Amino acid sequence: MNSLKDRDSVYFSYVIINFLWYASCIGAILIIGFFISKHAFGITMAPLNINVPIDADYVTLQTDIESSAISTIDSATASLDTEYIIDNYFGRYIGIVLSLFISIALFLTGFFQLRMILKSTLNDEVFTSKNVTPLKVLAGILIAYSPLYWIFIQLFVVPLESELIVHKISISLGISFNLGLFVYGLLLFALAAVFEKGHDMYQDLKLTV
Amino acid sequence: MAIIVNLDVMLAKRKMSLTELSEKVDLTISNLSILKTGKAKAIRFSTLEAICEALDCQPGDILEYQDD
Repeated sequence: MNSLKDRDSVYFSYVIINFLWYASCIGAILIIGFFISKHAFGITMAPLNINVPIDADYVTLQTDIESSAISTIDSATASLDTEYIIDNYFGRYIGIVLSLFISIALFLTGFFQLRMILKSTLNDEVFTSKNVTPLKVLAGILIAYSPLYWIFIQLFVVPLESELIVHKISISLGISFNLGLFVYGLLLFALAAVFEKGHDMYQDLKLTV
Repeated sequence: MAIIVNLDVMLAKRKMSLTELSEKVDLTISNLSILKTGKAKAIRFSTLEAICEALDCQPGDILEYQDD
């Protein structure tokens, strides 16, 4: 039986995932460091973009077009100073920051599990119980991500937008329940079951003389 | 376990050590230990044939069924 160690695809996948893992860790540290330095040293944060409803009549375009010819513009993106949110909606600001940290933690956990699976594959230990648990964790994260994202948006972003925009015509919330992730999560659960079965079969093989 | 492996009995009868048997049947000592201690989940016909040949016995001398 060919060893998985000799397969270039496994090796290169591991190298790429390893690189991305360390890059993600550095990114997460930078984000956390950014928030710490913001509150410790008062560094200005990037503004938050919100969609403000506008009438096409109020839009001045660089090329002269009659406003009646524009039918699709009903909102524009405005940049809201984050300091304003901190001063006026501190609770929600904390909520948004916490949501961001939770998202980063979930992302890093998922990535770490993927890295562990590839590492054990590289060591030629595919069907082990060590690989089943990370797969289930990864599947759980993928399934939980979309509902969690939706809850965070509903809790912290939607109230903020509806308070800031009084005469709203339409608000682009940027929410999309990602069914793809949910399906991937289910697929990973199925894969975990396959790994579990593979682990049992491998144990049987090991105890066959 | 309902199937009892009497390899140690046959080894004693033939005054043969596990190391000698492993050399004769071309199996590792650890694999023969798994078989001897009853931890094995399955045994290949080829292994059984080699053991029977080395110990000059029948499969029934090595394997025995006991009702729980």
